[in-house]
Amino acid sequence: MKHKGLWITLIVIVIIFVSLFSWVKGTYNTMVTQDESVKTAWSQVENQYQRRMDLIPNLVNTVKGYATHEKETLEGVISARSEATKTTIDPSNLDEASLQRFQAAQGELSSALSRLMVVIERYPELKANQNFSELQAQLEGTENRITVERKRFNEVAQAYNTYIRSFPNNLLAGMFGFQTKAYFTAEPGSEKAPKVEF
Amino acid sequence: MTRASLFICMLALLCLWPSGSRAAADYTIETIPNVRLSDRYNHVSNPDAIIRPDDVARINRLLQTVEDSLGIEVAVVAVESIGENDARMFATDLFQHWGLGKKGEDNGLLIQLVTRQRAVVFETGYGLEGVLPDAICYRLQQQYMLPDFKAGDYSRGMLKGVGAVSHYLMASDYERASMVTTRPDSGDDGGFVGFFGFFTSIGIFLFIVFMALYVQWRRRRPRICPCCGKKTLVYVKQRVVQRATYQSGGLVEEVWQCKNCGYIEKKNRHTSRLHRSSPVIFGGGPMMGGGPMTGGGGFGGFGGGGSWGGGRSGGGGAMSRW
Repeated sequence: MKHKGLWITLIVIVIIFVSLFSWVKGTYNTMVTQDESVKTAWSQVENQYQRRMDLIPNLVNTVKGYATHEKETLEGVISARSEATKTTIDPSNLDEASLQRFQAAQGELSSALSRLMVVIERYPELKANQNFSELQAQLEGTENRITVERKRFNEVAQAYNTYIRSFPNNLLAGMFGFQTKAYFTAEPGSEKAPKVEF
Repeated sequence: MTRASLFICMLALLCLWPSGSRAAADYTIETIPNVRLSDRYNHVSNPDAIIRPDDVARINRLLQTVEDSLGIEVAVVAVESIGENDARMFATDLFQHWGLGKKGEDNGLLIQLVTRQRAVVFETGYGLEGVLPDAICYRLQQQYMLPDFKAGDYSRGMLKGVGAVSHYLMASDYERASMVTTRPDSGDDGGFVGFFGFFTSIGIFLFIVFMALYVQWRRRRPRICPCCGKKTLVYVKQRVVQRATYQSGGLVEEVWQCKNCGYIEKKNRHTSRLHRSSPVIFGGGPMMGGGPMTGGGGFGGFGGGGSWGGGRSGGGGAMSRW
């Protein structure tokens, strides 16, 4: 019966190995899944900001035809847009600093847009233009989408951060190099959607 | 002293009274009745009776046609007040809360009227943004709803607006539903769990097979022959003496023979009685079969309650004020 001890040791080792393996595997794969969903949420945020930037040339052209004296405001919008276009983030590196830069550039564009919307109030015939009012509706819809997607991004990022920072997952996260993601913060300027009603 | 405090109390009560009674009429996303739950053909949540009953019936017919032919789930909500909430964000939250549209297709539409804010919102699901872009939502609101809303006839304005929307959707090139419904039912999530579960169950299965084989081998490995003393007594065959039944266990006779000296040993072994459930390890008990609870998806029963399909919105749509 000397086989018996050998068998038991073997089985215990196998069980320990299997359970350790399944824990590492489960945790690691959950981290990967959550990391990917943060990236997806981020790409949604980026899409909506891109949608806003795509609307701007059309908007500027429409306004130009009516508001001939507002060259400065329009140029402000255009330059803020080109600045925002340049500021992009690598989605695998969503740290505090780069997100801050992104948010600042987009916030600049938001405030330029709201200045434009204030100016437009002086041109009743522009407001009566159907093309313009529909563009404005699209812009409002996009601002709303941005808010929604930012909120969702924060939720997903929070779930991810909580997961990788809690014990014992943090050990594995450190081992495999999973880093915490930054959140969108409410910032004066970028938080405000261009108001249209005054 | 006590008289003064009593006075203050009364004053405080007086101050609180009107705001308290007003708060009762302010709906939140939880308190707006989800009429679909009790009647799956009802698309109109109209707790303040803003829309007339005959118009409600007409709206329901229109929206049921849209749902039957395109699969698009449209909900109409008409309330007096949602408090200080922003109507646009409220619509997004309500859409999310109810889950309008089929899951995976996200083809829901919420039409929300808040009379005290003088605002009407269309909230489109992700899947409808292409068919019903913001500009179109805005145009439909401006053309068909606002004239009547401005005149104070909310019921008529809503009927016209819903009519215009369903007309637009039916004329659109939105893919006809129910012909090809490929539903990626949260594929990534389920895939992960499914894969993991698969792996684990394979592991358990192998373990059990291994254990069973080991037990079998232990029982039937060559033994020491009591006649010649060599380890050559091997298992030959077994014979069922008495079959196991549901009431009593059975008896099996095992025959062992020594390969060296030819000694034959017969051993009786008792077997356990049969059980009502199948004796196979992986045999499905009564747990496996699907019970009467089939999943939601808005196709509950006939005339009974239903639910929305669990679609999502990304905040698309348009809002008009007057």
